[in-house]
Amino acid sequence: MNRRVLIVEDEPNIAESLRFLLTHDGFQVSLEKDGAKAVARVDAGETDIVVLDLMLPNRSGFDILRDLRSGSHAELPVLMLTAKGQATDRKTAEELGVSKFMTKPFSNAEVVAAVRDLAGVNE
Amino acid sequence: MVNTLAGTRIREARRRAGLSQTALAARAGISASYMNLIEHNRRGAAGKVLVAIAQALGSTPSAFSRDADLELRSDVAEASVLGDVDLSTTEDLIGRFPEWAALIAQLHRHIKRQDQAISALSDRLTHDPYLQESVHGMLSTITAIRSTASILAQVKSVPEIQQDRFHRSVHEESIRLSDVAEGLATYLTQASTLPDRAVTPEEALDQLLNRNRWHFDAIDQEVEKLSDVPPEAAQDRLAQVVEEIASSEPGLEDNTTRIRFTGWLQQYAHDALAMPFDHLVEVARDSGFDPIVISHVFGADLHAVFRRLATLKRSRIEAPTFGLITVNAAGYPVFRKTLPEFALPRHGNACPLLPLFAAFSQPTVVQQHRLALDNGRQFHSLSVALPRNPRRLSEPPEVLASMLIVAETDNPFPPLADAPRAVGSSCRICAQPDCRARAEPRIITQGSR
Repeated sequence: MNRRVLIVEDEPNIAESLRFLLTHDGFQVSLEKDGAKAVARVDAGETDIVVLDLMLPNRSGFDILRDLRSGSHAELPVLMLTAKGQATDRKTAEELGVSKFMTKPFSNAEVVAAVRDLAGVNE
Repeated sequence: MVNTLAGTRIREARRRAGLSQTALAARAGISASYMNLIEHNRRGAAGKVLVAIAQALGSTPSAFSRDADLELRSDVAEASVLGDVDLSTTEDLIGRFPEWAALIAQLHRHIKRQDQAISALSDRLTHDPYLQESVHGMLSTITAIRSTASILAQVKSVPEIQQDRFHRSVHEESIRLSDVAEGLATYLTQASTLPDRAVTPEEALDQLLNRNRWHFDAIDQEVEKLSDVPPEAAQDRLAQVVEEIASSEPGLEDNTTRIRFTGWLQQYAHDALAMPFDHLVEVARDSGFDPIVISHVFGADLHAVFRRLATLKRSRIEAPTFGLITVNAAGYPVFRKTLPEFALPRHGNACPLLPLFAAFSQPTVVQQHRLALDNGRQFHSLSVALPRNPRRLSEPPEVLASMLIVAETDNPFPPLADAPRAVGSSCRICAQPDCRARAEPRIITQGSR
């Protein structure tokens, strides 16, 4: 499979368990907690799927998603994770072109299934 | 405009004094049959007749006037929405059983305070930044613990070094969760006293103004003395009078209420200076209370004219009782004088169908409407929106809308042929069926009309 996943998450323990889970499932995983650097890595062609936290320091997940969609990544699969489950946040994410939206706390099985789905990996 | 409450009050006072109807009539110098009509609210008692009756009972005319216990009447009328009550019996209840009426009003105020406390807490839960941050922190921590614990429990081939890291992660996150939960519990405990502090000043101001019957003789009398005084000197003198009134008002310990009350008095003084009472009474009487005429005669804006009409001292002019609400563009009431039969919310959330809000779309145009409440009462309203002059070029304009209301039975304005518009006070207590504008369910469902 070897699809490349970029996890943009500032909570180190969540980032580490996501990395372990997705690596264990066969993905090639890298971590980033800075929004600008994350966009640069995507621009550099290092990423097939982005797992993006909404609440990040400096630039929010919405800002990063907006940058990606307004650049040359209109079709890039993006899974947004948030502890803010408000309907307005989901609506904003959808308007900005998110591929999937998932609220915390999620189960490991759910998040892995969502990434597999975005990667087009059949069960 | 029959002074219905006066008759009932007079009857009760006569009975308490141990007088027969005939004896009281004789003392007051009127016929027994006329006294009978007054006591049964078929004739109004005003002027010299009311003074004579009051003297015969060893009392004062104000004790029997329509304005007496305005606050009590307002609260009892508001309470009536909780049940299937005939509003026409309200005044009879207050006149005959004042203690029970006071108890009903007290319970109603208590319920309203509880309701406002719930609203305030609900707003706090929804919008409070500390709570949002805490909940976000808890969910993030729980996510980390859940994910890590699941890996440890369910994945068999976790390398030892990774296992150690995950164990540390669970330990760290559990401490963090404990800290967030503890902080949240402390915060919520402290917050439980907040709603009372937040809602009290508006209630306190209403009580103060009702107690003073919405007018201040000291200011009106001072204005009459200042007719030949230059404007600046007159304003200075009135500022002193305002301070004297505010400082002599009992029970003004709360600083917020004091500031609001003083601001209210300053506006009253400003309006009184622009429209001195005696001249205003003359113009109002001659024009049939036409606010446009009054506005032209005194060069005052309609918000101020409405305020003067709503605060007229009615013992000096046979005038209808006007209610008034003035709101800013966000719907927040900046002036509110309610009518006993037409409750207007203190904190916004008023019925969106009130013509008051439509006035914003046509500033400066005075709109007249007939209104029908869910309790069957009908009113006549005049609404207008006017921009406030900015203080400097860079300041954005502010538009306020006012709605003057008067019971249809007291309406001094030319009657309208249009069918009345169905409106309410606010959705939470309104029983209008199938309302397209309903924003939230009615909080009372049992015993509703």
